[in-house]
Amino acid sequence: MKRILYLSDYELLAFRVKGKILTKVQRFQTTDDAEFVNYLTDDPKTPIYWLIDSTQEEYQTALLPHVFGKDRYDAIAHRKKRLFENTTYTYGIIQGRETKGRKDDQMLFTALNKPDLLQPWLDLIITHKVPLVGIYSLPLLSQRLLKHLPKAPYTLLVAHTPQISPHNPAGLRQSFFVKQKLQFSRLIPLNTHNPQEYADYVLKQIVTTQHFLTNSRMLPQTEPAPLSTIILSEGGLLEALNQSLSGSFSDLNIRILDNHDFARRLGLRTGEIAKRKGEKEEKALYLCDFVAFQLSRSWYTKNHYAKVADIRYFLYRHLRMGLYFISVLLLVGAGITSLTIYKSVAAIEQNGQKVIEKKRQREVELKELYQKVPQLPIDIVLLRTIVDSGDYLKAYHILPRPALEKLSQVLNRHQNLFLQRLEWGIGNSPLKIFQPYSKSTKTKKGKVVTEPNNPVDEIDPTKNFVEGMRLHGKIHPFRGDYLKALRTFNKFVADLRQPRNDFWQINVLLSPYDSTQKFQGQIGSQSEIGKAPFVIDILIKHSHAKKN
Amino acid sequence: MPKKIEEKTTMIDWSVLLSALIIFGLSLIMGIVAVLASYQYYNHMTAWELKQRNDFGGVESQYSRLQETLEVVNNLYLKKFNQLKSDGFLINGTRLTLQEQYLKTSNELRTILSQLPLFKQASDYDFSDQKRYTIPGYQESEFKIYKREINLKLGVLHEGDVLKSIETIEFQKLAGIFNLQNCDIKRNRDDINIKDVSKPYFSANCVLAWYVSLIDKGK
Repeated sequence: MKRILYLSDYELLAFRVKGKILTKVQRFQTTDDAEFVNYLTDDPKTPIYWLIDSTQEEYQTALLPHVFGKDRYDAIAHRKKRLFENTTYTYGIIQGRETKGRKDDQMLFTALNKPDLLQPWLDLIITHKVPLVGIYSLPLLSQRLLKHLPKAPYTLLVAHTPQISPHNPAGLRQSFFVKQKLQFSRLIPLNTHNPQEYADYVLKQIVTTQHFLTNSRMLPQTEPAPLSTIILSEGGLLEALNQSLSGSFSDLNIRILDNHDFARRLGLRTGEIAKRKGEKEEKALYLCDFVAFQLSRSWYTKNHYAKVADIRYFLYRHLRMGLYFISVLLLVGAGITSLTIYKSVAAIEQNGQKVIEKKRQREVELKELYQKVPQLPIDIVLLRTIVDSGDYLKAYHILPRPALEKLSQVLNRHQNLFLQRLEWGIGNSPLKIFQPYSKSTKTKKGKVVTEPNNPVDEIDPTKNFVEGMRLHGKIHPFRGDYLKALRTFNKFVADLRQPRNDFWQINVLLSPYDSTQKFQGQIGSQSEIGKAPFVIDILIKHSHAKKN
Repeated sequence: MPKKIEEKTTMIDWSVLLSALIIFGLSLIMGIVAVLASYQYYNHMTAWELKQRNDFGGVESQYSRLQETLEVVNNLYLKKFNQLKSDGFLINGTRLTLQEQYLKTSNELRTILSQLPLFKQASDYDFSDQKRYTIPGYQESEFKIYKREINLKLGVLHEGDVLKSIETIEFQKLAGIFNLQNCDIKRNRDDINIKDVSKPYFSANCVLAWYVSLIDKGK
């Protein structure tokens, strides 16, 4: 529900709009009337929209440089101050831009020249802390009606207003719009109830206004005048207007609309009108009804005249709403957060219960195990370490006899091989058993070439270790036949490599003959017969498998 | 005059905001209390769950330890442990110190070596210094292994005497674990004359590793 106050020079009307039903609730003529105070105190919470429809409202069009931000604000404030010195209730609105020249902004400035008209009412509203949304100029808001009326570049809207003085039954407002924007408005009293007099009066006023607009260059001076006039009227007045129009005013471009038809077009329905004691029920529709209805239909309308101080209780209301909303958000947020946390807690609790259950189960199994365990002399971990260490060391407890016996069996088949030296050892890797073998040969230039020979794969010392034998021997007897010596040696190596010997690797470090060896000497001399030595590594891989 | 009105109306009327401010404050407090309380509860339950897990971990480790014990028993660990003790590898049970054990073993070894078929003039032995020995993959603990290397220089008539000597030492069951580490056997002469046995035909340099261990709870 929205409530709207309508203030004319004569009275204050209170409207209530609920849905599409507009109801005149109450009528107040003086601020001394306690009824207005009662009206305010009965419902101090519903915000008030306040329409002003006064003869004291002034309209000025002007051009302002097209600037932005603070410059625009200052320019408008300065112009308002200059135009309207005696009032603080002023308003300026940009209505368009010039298409030529400096392309200045086209402004309309309005002002309420008699603040005393609204001040007593406003004071009461503020005193009773009723939220005021804004103070609006009725002619300015009547712009919104144009979208429901026949469109024209120059429009004069003529409509009735409620009583504007104790001596007149009604008022007549003429508002002039260029391109749907208000330029000028005029409120005059309507003195007669006689339809024909009324029609003549209205049409004469229209002609007067048209002359004024033409003379003041607000309307182009073309023939026929481009002004489209729309009269909102009702009842018997409509017929009288139509008759007059077909007579002496036939040259005017005038459309006459029935107020009730227009109300239907807007969707406006009027409710039961409250009335003061002894007053007849009123069925007439005025411009203020349409504007109030339009105002109620929009969710936001920019305030025209009210100052921040005037609408502070509305701002406070917003602030309150904001605080309530934030409070609700806080509570909802806290609730959701707490719920989320409680949900996590529930999951934690569930996990904890599962752990407890597992613990209970394990405790039962533990008790059963306890009955099976014998007494140990020392800590179990230590015991295990000692036993495993012992196993590790005992794994190295290998004697050379088995390997030497296998070697002897092979050597027995090769009588020409003569062993001079045998190295035996065990270690984590072949490199740790024997010194790296190198042979030295003198080249022609007398340099010594060292040829490293460590052809052994690395092994994982935590899993395996190596037993190794290095054989240093020679072909004996040797009479200089290297070919035969090499064949004998190769046969020996091939026999060593037989799988039945379980030797892991056989590495020849020195062969009876190698490709770098050169034959030279005195022909027929015995001294030229050299030697045919050899060196072989035999490796056997063992694992740290536990030995009981 | 209008300015005066403006100045007057700029005062904030707190009375109309009071209820909203109170509700906002209460909501804020309630929200904070609710969130804090639920966090407190969450922390409490997290700690509770952790405690349950720790308790379970305790029981579980006890259970694993027991299972391990059973495994040890099943794998004859205890039997092996006793065997190592009786072998003299773990000297805690022998009532001897490391030093005493060393002296005892060296005496025994000297006696054994003197009875071997060796060329005495060409043979000798030498104990190295005692060193800590760590098995790869095992961390330092109160259980400590010590190693000494015994370098044997042997002069023999036949290469088989080297093996016999080593096996004789093995057979004597000296305290600790003895591992032959390496042996370098060299032929001193190419030709063999069975009538000449005055000098060794072979000389061997062998290294025996001797291991003993100790549970040292003091360190």
